[in-house]
Amino acid sequence: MLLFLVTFGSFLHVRDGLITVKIGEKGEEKRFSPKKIESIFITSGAAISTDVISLCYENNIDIVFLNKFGDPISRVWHSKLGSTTLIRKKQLEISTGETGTKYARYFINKKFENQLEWIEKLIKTRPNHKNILQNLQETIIKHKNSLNEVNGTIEEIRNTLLGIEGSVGREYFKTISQLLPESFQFEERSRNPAKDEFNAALNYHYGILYSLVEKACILAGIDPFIGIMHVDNYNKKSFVFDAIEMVRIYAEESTLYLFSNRKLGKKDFQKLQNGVLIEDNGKKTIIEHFTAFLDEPIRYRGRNIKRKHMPLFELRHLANEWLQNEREQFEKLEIEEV
Amino acid sequence: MIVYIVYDIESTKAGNRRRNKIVKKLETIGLYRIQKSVFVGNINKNEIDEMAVFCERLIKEALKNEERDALSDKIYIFPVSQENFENVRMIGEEFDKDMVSDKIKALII
Repeated sequence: MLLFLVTFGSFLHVRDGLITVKIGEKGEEKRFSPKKIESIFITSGAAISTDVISLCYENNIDIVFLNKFGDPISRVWHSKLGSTTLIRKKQLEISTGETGTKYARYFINKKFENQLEWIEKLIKTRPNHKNILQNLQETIIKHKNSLNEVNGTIEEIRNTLLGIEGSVGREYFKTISQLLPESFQFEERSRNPAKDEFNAALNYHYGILYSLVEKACILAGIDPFIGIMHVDNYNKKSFVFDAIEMVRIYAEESTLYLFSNRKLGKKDFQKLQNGVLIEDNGKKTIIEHFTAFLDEPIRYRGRNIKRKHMPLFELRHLANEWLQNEREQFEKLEIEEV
Repeated sequence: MIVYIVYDIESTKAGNRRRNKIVKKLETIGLYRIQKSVFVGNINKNEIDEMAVFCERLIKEALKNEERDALSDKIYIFPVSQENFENVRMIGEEFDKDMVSDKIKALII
C-alpha cells in the first residue's frame, strides 16, 4: 500500500513497532504494520521522527517528499547501491559511446510502440476520432522508422533524437487534446505550473511515476543520475528521465480516462494567475485511480506482471545485459522489435 | 492468504504480559485487530509460520517459568478462502473489509 500524507501538521512516529500517524495537530492516530507499506509520500507540512526513518530503512520503505505540483523533491532511503558498482561503471561507458545511441533509440522506440498500441485501442473505442488517430499513427510510424537511420555517438545525435521525440510529442498531445471534452482541450504541454487542467493532472501522474522509476533504478543497481539521452534537457543528468519514457503511457492513459469519464471536473482544480493547481479532492481522485491502474496485470516478456513492476523488470534486464556484455543478443532483440 | 487468529489467554498478571506480547507480534506482522481477541489479515505462509513459532515459544517459556496458567492458553489460526471472506456478514460496528484483505492500494490521510 502507498501511504499519502496530505493533512497539514501530521506527525509520523513509531509505537510498538508500528508506523503511527497522528493526523493533523489534534487528530486521531492510525497505525500501520511496516510490512503493509511500500512507500510513504508526504505532500504537506508534517513532522517525522528518526525512528520512522530507521524502521522504513529496515523494511525497504522509501519516504518521498512531493511539492504541490506532485513532483518528488526529495527521498529518504537507505544509502546502499542496490547492486554492484560494475553496473554503474558500464553505465558511464554507455552514456558516452556508440552503445548509448542504441539504448537511447531503444527507449524512444519503446515509447512509440506503447503509443501505437494505445492508439490502436483508442481507434476501436472512439470511432468518431478514427481519422485523426490514424493520422497520428502514420506520423509515429514515420518517425519510428527514421530512428533507425540515426547513427553516431550519443553526443552527436542527442539533438536529433530529442527532435524526433519532440515532433511526435507535439502531434501526439494535439490529438489527445481533441479526444478530451471540449472544456478541457489544451494548446500544448506545460509544466511548473501547468496552464490547464489536463496538463496539471498529467504532471501529477508523471510525478508518481517518476518516483516509481527512480526507486526501480536504485533497486536494479543503475545510477539514476547518469542519463544517456536526457542530459542537457533538464539541468539534471538523469537516467530516470530516460527510463520513464518506457512507462509514460500509463500516466497518459489514466489521465485521459479520468477526464473523458468525468471523474475530474472543473471543481477539482484551482485557477491561479499564471497556471492551474489541483485541489485536494482532485489529487485524491488521481492517486486512487492511478495506483489501482498500476496494480493491474499486464503481459510482459511472456509473463504476467503488474504494471508497477514493469520498470524494475525492464531495468534489471538492462543491468544484466550491461553486466553480461551480451551486445549481440541485444542487437538481435532490437531488430526483432523494431 | 487471509487468516483469522483467535486466542484466549488467562487474565492473570503473567497472562496479561503474554497477551501483550502476542498482540504486538500480530500487529507488526500485518494483522488487524477486529475484536478484542480476534485478528484478521492477508499474510503469507512464512509469516503464519513465524507467528506460530513465536506463540509456541512464548507458552513453552511461560511453563518453564512455572506460570501454570499458561496451560490453558489457546491460539487458533483459521485460513479462509478469498471467496468465503467476501461473504462475511457483519452485524453492528463493521471493520474495513478492503483494508484487511489488502485491496486498498493507496491510502490518503
